[in-house]
Amino acid sequence: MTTPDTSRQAAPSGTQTAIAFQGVRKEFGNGANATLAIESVDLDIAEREFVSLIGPSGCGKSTLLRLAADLIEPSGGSVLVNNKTPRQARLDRDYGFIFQAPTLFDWRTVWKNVALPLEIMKISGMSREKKDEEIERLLSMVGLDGFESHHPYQLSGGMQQRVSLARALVFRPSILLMDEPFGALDEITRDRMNLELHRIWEETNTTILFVTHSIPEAVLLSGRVVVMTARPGRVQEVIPIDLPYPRTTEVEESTRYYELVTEVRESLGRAMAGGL
Amino acid sequence: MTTADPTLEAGAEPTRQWSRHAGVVVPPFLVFVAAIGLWELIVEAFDIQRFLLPRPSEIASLFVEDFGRLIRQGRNTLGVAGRGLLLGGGIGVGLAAITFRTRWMAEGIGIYAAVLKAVPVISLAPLTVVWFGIEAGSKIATVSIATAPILFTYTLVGLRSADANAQELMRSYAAGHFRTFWNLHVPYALPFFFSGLKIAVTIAMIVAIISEYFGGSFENLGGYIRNEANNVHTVEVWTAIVMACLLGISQYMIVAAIDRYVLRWHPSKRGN
Repeated sequence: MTTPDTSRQAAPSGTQTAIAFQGVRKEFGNGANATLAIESVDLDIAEREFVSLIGPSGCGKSTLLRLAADLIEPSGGSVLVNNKTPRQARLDRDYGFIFQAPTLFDWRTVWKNVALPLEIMKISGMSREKKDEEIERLLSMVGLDGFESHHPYQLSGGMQQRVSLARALVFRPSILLMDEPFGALDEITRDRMNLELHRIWEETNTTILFVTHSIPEAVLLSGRVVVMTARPGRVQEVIPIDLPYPRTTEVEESTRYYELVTEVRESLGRAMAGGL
Repeated sequence: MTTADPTLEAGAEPTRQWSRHAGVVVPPFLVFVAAIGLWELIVEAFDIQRFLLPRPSEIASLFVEDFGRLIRQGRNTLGVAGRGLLLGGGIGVGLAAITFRTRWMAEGIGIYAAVLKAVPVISLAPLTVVWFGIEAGSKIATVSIATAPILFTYTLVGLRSADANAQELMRSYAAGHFRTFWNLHVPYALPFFFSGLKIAVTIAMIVAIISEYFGGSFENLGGYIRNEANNVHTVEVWTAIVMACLLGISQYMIVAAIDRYVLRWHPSKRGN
């Protein structure tokens, strides 16, 4: 049996670290009922990097994401986001979080849903016109021109998730934390959303930490794929994805792409075996 | 990709909508006319005495004749019901808003709200008379006691129904408590609040009229009914009952209309 490779995974050199997990452990519950969700996770994610977390169900992928977002706190080890505690990073609005469900507010129009973070954050030095411009720009970036005054229920699932993406980008966070954002979409929509997300990632200067169940999705989008073991979650292996940019449909049809998909699948297989 | 096309939805054939409305309105109306007709015939056929069951036509003509006074009395009763509801609703909604984040507090109050809902509140009416006097004050108090627990319970459930992801989203924005309350919890609570309000307006009217039976002015529906019933003026009693029904129904319909308008985004109101 292969031992999980838990050696510290350094971020590509020459760049700043956006998110750093050091010896992170997370337990849920107390005493005898406590379950260990993740253990001794070391992982650095560089600025502007696109990293996917993949692993069997219950491996703690989402837990890692939620730790970075300060939605939960670690039981041990440390998490740094932009060299700050996750709490400070949250207060500084350093990241945008995207859930699997679009989590739109039904009573608000598409426009007002995207405007929500700006209303709450009262970003200084941003005039009303500037805000309106920004919302307009983002809605057109995610392909929703003309849908400004629609309500979420009038949109398909894919369109709703695009609204949620625009809402996360509108306050220009340096980091996007995405928890299986396209998991509930059909294959075709999902494919399109993936390519769009990748284009947006290239256009903006964001760091993306992306949780997914889909191997092809992880390979297509990422600079590195982090394979995790079953509960308790550990880093099994970090696989660099040396596919050319921009990632397009042609890349998806290349031999190298299939090789990498196989490599991740095999690593995932070993991770599952280790967990049994 | 199939996306809902709202331009199509908005145009949903007006004629079909009309026939659907007619389907809802016409059958109950026919039943009403038939029932009144039957009532009139039965009184005629069995020669029922007037003080036992007057004819509908007689009630109707006295209703028209006394309309001015009935409206005045109705307005007074409505005033008591409305002020009681405002007070009780304010207390119920206020307590729900204060306690919904703190489980032990909400549950501590919730038990008493449940008890109050189980108690026939009207049995407290003589007591409120002792505390607040024979006039409007005691009646307003009884209405408040009856309606506060209803609005507390409904609002509390509504405030707590806010989507967990949406709450985390607000947290990720580092939104303050008041922001989160206003932008997230209130919209989630509204459908529940209106369901509670629809029940509470009806209860408020019932409790107001019965409270008026326990004494005080005759210049309201309950007082008038009490007085005329004592003198076996059955037709007069019936006219007041008709007015009470009309006020109760219109009150309910106004709340329902506001509900439909405010919550037009809600799944239960969108239609289709």
